[in-house]
Amino acid sequence: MLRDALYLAYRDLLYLLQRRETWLWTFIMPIVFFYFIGSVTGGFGSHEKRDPIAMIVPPDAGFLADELIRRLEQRNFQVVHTENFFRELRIPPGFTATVLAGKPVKLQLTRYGAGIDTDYDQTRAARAVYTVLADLVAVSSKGGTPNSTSFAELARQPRPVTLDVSSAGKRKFAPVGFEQAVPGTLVMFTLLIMFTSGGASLLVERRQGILRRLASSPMSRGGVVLGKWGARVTLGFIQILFAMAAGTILFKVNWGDHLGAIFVLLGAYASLAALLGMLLGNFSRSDGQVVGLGVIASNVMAALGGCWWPIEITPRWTQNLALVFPTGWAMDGLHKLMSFGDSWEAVVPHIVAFVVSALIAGYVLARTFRFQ
Amino acid sequence: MRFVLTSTVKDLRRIRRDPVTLLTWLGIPTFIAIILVVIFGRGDARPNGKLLIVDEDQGIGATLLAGAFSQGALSNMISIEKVEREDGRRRINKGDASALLIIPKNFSIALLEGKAANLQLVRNPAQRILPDIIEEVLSMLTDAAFYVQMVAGPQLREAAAMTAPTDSSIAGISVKFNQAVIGTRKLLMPPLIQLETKVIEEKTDKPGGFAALMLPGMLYMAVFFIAGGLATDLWRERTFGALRRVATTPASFGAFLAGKLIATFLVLLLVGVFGLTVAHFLADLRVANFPLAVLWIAVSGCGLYLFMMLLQSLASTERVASMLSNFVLLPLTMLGGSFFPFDLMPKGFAQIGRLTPNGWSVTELQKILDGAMVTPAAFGAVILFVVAGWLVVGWRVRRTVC
Repeated sequence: MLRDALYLAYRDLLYLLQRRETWLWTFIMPIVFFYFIGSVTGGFGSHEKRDPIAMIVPPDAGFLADELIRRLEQRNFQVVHTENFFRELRIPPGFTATVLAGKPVKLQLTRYGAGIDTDYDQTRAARAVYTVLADLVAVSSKGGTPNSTSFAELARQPRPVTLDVSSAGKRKFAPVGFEQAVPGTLVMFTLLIMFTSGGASLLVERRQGILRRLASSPMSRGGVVLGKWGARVTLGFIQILFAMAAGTILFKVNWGDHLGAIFVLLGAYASLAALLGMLLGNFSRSDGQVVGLGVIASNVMAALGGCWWPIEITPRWTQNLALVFPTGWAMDGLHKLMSFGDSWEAVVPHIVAFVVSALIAGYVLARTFRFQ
Repeated sequence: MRFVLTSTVKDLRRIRRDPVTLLTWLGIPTFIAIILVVIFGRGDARPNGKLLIVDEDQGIGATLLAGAFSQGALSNMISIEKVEREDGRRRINKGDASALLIIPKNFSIALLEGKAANLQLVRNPAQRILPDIIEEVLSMLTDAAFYVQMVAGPQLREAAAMTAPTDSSIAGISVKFNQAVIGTRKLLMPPLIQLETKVIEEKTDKPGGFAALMLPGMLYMAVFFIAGGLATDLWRERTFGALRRVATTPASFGAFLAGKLIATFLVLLLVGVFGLTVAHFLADLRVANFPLAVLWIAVSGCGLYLFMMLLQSLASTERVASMLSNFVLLPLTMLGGSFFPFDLMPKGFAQIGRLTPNGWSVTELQKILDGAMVTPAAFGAVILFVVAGWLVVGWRVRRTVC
């Protein structure tokens, strides 16, 4: 049976690789998707990238305005001087003189667009503004004269309470832009291709009588299923390898120190995805059904599994639900290997889960495989 | 005219015979809309995570720190769980929380006496938003501790040193605290520097939030997929000999094609009614002019149908046709605002996306949903495109058959 299966897988793979659509979906479309989704979600952005904030500073604003700029920069803002910017802080004329004269001054922060980013901007800007006020209070309470020298002296004083920040695992910074988008898109795309192309090609073979002819050959049912699966999963491996190489070369994705473990994890995932796609092709009646259901199922699993967005922005129940789907297992395993820098032992449960699920799906497929 | 009607009825019957396919195409945006609404509700996406706290201090300082995360909006985003150091380390290394905070022993005493104390924060490297928020809040609190020490340090140290306070010592310390407060009153009441924030809501902040923002683009994803799916019918008609049979009748290919176009128009009308109704009730999508929006979806969808049909007619085989349409369809849906709304795309992408046929249709639909009328020029352009498409596709089909 194994020899038959290997032969069938080899012939099928050769046939698939000769088709232009295979090249399109395996080598071109993933790159287009990586580029598009990665660019929209931050591109080559890094943790060092600062958020620009426009500051309108009149010439007579004084040293308190400089102090404010310094604190905004400490809060990861980059001060720019563009008019009508979406994030703008306006300082009134005579800012320092008015404050030192004991008269209240209002600074105006204008932010276009609501949401979590706006809340975060407000918090950081407020912190910058109110630490200037706090310095003023601290210097005055000690009987000092508020000026740039006394502020600098205060800044040099050691803070009694300090905060040491470190990262769990080996990686220092969370993945952003392409580093986040490429693995998520790869997981989604593998599933999408296996569900749509993998399922639809099985249906076409059934419609064209190829499967009927195979049924009349001496090959066993299990051999046919194994062979068909072998071709699809090998194509999946090729796609994963290519996508990982493209991610590394074109999009500077750092896959961490355990490339082998990542490949095994994604390979196990592709094995299951190929079988699920074949099950879809086995039970569907038309191309439209396979492609439609395949697109729906892969998108739903990708969204709930954390391929579309960082899972942290979803409610707690969705974060737990993610681990019900193969996409969630794959993303969790990738985070362990890439974000935490864990060794391959950390993803053994994930791989076992994929293999066991694949065995169950394979058994169901072999039992129900429709030759016509 | 009769032949046009016959052709329309024939196509509608064929579509009715395979409703699952049509339903699955409709299901794509519906399912995605349901997911968006279920996950994010009808508002903005809010992060949700856990902060593990190792409290080795067991004093007021640790309570104050933990309490900071139970206030206002933070309490909706971050839940606190107290753990032992080993358990906390193990769990953060497993990615079981957004961050781990270790509050050292004698932290409260150090806080009162102005002595050095070191908080340790371990971030989950797979997350970005929540660890950033937690770090920002904690670093604000360490700042606050410094300023309190600067203003009322001696008083705090004196209070901390009292082992058996008497009435007079408590009264004395209260007076000193009051004096410290009076000293700062002219700076803080009212604060000499105030920050006034003006948040100007954008198109992205309309009712229904994230889901409502995504839905018009997604609706066009369905329209484009349906248009693409129906366009492939051309090959089936050819394979089954229907086109050849039409060629032998006195009827024109133009009439045959017009029948198909009317059938597509009717299907897309239904899709528009269904999609907008679902979007309105599910995600609070504002639909200012329902009939016009539905009409726009159907007419612009016919344009997309003819565009896809043109691609089909240019291909030499069914396989090439399928590849060509996929190659065009997916990038166009991505750029045309179906995967990400234009408001969330980088400017360059959004500019190009708005120029694509589907992207332009989405932009015009958005205007209708917001209450604007479609300009006669826009409607004229679509009608012109449909007529031109009908003529060109008719010519291409005739050429391939005859």
